Amino acid sequence: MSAAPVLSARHIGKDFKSERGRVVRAVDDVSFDIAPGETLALVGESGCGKSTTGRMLLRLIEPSTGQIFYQDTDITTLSAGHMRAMRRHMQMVFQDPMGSLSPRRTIGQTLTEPFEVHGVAKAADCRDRVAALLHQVGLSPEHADRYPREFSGGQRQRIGIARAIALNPKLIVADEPVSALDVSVQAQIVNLLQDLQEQTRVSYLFIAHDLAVVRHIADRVAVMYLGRIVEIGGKHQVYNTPRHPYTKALLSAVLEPEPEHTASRIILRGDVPSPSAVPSGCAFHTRCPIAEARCRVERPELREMDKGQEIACHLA
Amino acid sequence: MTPLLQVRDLVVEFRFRRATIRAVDGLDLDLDASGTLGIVGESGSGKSMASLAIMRLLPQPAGRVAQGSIIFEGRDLLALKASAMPAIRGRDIAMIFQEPMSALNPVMRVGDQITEALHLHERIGSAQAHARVMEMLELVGIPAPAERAYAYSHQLSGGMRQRVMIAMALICRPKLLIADEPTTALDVTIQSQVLDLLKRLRRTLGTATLIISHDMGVIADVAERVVVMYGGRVMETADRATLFRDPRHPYTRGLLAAIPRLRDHRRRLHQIPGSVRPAGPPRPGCPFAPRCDLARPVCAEQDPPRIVLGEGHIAACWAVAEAVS
Repeated sequence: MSAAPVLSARHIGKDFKSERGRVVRAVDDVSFDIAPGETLALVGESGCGKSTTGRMLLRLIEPSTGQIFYQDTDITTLSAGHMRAMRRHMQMVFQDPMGSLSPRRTIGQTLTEPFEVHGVAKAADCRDRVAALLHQVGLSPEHADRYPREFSGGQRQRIGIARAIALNPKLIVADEPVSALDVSVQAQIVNLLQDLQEQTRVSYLFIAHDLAVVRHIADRVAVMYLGRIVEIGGKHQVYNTPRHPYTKALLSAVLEPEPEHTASRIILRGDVPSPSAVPSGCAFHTRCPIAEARCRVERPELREMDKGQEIACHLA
Repeated sequence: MTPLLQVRDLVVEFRFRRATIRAVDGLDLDLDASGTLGIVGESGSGKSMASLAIMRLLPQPAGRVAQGSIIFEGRDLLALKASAMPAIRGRDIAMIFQEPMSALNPVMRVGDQITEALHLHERIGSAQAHARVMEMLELVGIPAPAERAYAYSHQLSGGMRQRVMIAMALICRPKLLIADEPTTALDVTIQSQVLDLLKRLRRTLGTATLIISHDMGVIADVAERVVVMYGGRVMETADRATLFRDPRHPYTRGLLAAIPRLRDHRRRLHQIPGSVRPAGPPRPGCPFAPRCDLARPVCAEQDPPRIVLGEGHIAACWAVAEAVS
């Protein structure tokens, strides 16, 4: 990865105050780089902090600690006005496009908004730009006059993607962009995201819980557990030679439509602990099949095991 | 062997003032005692409405069974008086749902809810009932059952709640368990635990299971026979090995090819064009025709024939009919 990263997160963390005034650390000391044209996937189960991390990159949630660099600019210290201008380079696609599209505006109006906010196109040009955008995401220009309710889930996600790419951003944070869609429609959206990346070299932070989809779309993968990255590496490293016991268990839990494939499944005991009561030492020790005394006391830091593959485990 | 459950030509409709929506159109199901049958389908396929029809719990007043029979242990459930159903639900046929939170009473301790389910169907002393409940909680893998029985549902994790619901469903030893998307709301590591539990319970208790899911992976993991539904109709049905190794219906094939796998290195996923059509009024022809690569004019006009491809392997498709003739 010789090119300078589009985005770097350095030791970012997020503390939320619970109702009783306790501090819940949802994200703790997370660092990664995303190269131009690269897809980094963040995977993990609910409550692992992957969505909070994604939102922090755009400062939709303010980080409590750490720094985020867009190219060479530390965006964590930017004023609200400067941050708004910065967002033309960094966009977001959500799981539920219906929740992020205004029901009372036509698709054309919604897609014109980015141009107006950033003052990059005259009103007269907007219609052409919108038509081009719709075409780019596989819809037709006539769709511009319709309202979100007139579209299917897959089409609405195309609209969400069209809005995100309107200003040619360098980075898109896509938070579970296909998990609410029917299986027969998921593949369309995955293919669309890949086509757009080939055309524009946009980078993705792809947040997902479906490891088979991630395997298909990602270049690198970071696995999170209770707010921390426990393993990060190239896709082939993480999928072919997973080293963290949590990564191994996650991969073995993937159910594939292949009844003959009966690889022994690692069944973890217990539940994911609450982020408000993260276990001591290695947070995974309460469910880990190989944990030792040391794991209950001492927190493992990420260390490089192989070129580009880092894991946080005392025993791997 | 007489089948435990035999559904024939089931048609479920919703009647509104302006329109009639057909949610299930000509469904056949066969399930033996202690068998596991999976229904797989996307949104609007009719899979959940089929299961509610079996329980006679279709949303009222719009929903009704317009046609067909549901033979359970030799009698047609549709011919029974509505007042006879509560005795069957829970005792003979039990159901678990995707979201246990909405099925559990939030102000009642979970142990009491399971006990109540037991008292509803059996005359049993409280000491004996308590013992049965503890035994069942242990069986479904709830640690420290004596303590957890005093918990309220909101104090339990999603996985534990699903276990409680399974315990409540099985406490009267029903002959048939209907599981509608039982793991869809759960994290993958918890999904593994719950599917493992369902398989183990079927082995130890011998409860026949009808599992309904949108997830081909879940179906491949637990179901012995599979029914693939789309737009209210059965597209294909086969035993598990045949369905996944030799799918014949273009919809089944397309769906399986659209799913990314851990061990494949295709650059592009197979795409099924268009989107799932919402359920509408009864229409002739194949509901998948507008999205099908192999569609021909007849597909939009006439219902496809059901082609028998092997023992228990049926596909409803004009293109398949042409290929085998």
